[in-house]
Amino acid sequence: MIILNPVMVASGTYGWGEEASELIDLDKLGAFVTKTITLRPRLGNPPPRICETPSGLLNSIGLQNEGIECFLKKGLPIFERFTVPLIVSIAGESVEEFLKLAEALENQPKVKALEVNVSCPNVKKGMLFGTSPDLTAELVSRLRKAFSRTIIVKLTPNAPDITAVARAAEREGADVLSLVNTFLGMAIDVRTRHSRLSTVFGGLSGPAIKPLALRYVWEVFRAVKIPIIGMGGITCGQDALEFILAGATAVAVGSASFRRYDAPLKVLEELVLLMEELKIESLAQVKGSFIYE
Amino acid sequence: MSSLIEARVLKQQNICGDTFHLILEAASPLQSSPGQFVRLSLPGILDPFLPRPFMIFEERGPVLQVVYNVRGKFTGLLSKMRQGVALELHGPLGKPFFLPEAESYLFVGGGTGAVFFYRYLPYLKRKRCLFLLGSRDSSSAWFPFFFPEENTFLITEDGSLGLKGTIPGHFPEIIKRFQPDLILTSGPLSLLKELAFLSSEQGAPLWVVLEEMMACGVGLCLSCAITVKEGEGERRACLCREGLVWQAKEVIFSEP
Repeated sequence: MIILNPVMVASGTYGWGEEASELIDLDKLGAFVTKTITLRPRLGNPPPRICETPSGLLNSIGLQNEGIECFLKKGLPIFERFTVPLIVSIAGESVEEFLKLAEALENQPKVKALEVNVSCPNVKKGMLFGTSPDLTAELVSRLRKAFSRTIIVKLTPNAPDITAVARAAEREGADVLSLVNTFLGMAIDVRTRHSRLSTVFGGLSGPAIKPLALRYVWEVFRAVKIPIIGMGGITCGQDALEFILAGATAVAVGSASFRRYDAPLKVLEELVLLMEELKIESLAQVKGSFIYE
Repeated sequence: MSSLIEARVLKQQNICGDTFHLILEAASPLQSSPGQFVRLSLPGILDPFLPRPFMIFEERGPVLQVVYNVRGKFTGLLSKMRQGVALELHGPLGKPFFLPEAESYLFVGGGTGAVFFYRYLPYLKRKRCLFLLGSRDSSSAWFPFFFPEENTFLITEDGSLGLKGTIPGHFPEIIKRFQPDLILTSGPLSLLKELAFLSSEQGAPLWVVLEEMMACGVGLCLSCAITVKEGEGERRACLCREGLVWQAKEVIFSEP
């Protein structure tokens, strides 16, 4: 898969294309990553689904989506009008479910890559695969046989050893890794003593997690050879460059789009200006060039 | 179609208690409809991170007004914004809501929930209408400045202004006397739920103005979901896309 610029949208923060196409010119993005699609429609979690925490937010949407069949019929055709590389995020509760999704998307040439979401903290079994190197290895090796184009594996920072999961995915044929998904967190309403979400836990995102995410990107970069899409709290061009210096080939903007829907495009503009200022000719030259000794 | 524009503070006043009246001049007119809202953010500040939604109290050309309560960090900071400060505005957002045709309307508002009704005043000139507005005490009752005295019933919990008691306490009697064709209510979720329960025994349809924590405001994130009935089952609907106003009988209210 070829991307023309390094800034994409993060899965779950930009819908499936319909609303997004009314907001910005999608072709200005490096790639469009859909909100996760599952085999069957999912109602998602009851409200409240988000709450704000210092410099970030906890979410517990619960993979609400209308299922793969509906996406193929209603979602996919939206992208016929665009040239932006389309990455479809998929999640399943079993290897078989993942395989059925991959098989359905294999026949859709518009779909340039799959992002395998083994890291959703808000559904049962959402992180089952992503926290285990063995289960990730088995899943990726089976998916590799079912899908011929780019396979991206989205990693969770909630794994005991993220580098072990990263290496397992690489060994079994993943082409790209994306990280990080949200950090498991919680918030309590002191008056009611209930969770501020309808679930006990939620996934933390936003600027609050940026230093943590950056550390994971750097560690994974040192552990594998395949490209990395870095994400976690990016709100400006400088943030994006930090991730690239830590080893990311591309970056994704997530929660910042909730502040301004054009945040990914602003990050890109700022990144270009920053490259000029710092006399960086190509990002490939500076990727992973963090000086640490 | 919503846009991101700058809006400068023209004036801000503390009406009473924790309630503030903010007047903004947007870089261009929003041309919003009743039922729509805007999101305001504090530029350059990462904590609070998310913009907050505000009902449009009134709009005239590029000048728009917002009435809100200070509840947390965001509104605390907003209340300190003085003339000339530039805020980021995203809007207009949400589905417009026009009052269904009826001869008589009862509007029931708790606290700043009643902000929602203000934009309908011009449409009510030839209608029979009544406003039942409640607050904790006289110091938090902001409505006397804005709603027509002759058809407004004020209720305070301590009786320091208007009738003493709670809205649900007086609701059945008011319904009996006024016999509205349609009831629209806006305020805390606990109030909406109680009225939905009480009105299920009454004739007039009850419409509720719902609120949920919102992130993107445009249907990307699915945060502001509520549960509504659909056929035999249920589905989630995003308030930002599908509108804030629902018939109470369509909504499945969450517990507790």
